[in-house]
Amino acid sequence: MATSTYLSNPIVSIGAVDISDQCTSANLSQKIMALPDNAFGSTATSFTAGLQDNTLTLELYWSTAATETYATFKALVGTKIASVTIKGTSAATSATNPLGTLANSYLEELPVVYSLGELSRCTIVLRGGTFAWTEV
Amino acid sequence: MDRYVITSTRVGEIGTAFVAGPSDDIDWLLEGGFIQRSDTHPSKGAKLTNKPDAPTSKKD
Repeated sequence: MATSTYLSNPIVSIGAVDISDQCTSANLSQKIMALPDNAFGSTATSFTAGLQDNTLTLELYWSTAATETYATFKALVGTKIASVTIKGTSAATSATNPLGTLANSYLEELPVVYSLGELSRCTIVLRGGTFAWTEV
Repeated sequence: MDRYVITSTRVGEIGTAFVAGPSDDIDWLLEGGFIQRSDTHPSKGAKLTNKPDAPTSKKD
């Protein structure tokens, strides 16, 4: 049965900074917009590839300690982040452990939730940019 | 050329040299406390590949 189960090992890095131990979820949407290219005579809808429209949503614990979540993201709001990488495990990059790289994605906001009796969290959404998988 | 030392395990082994990649934002890494500038200079005994003051000929 060909399934992949990741219990705790995904690696998420913002540039050279490994933020994995603050991250509880990484939701990647690799998307290329569909442009209708129908014409008279078409008998079914048809599309061609448009622009990439990628999104990476990270759920993080909110820590303001040195070199933690706050220190990592405070200066990135409203900027394009040169490189964000995500990988299933810390093992070497390979065809079965591909490295995804989102380049020049935009961080619009840094929303923080403080709740009584809970670990504070923030969910950041990296929008746009170019995404590619690497297998070597 | 500035040299940098890793100060956070998020970037690598603390105390080792940080080798910047083409997409690394040095100012951001410095501001976040992930690396710091190294004030270590080459020792006086360090050998230079090309000694700028070395005479090109032994004949004067």
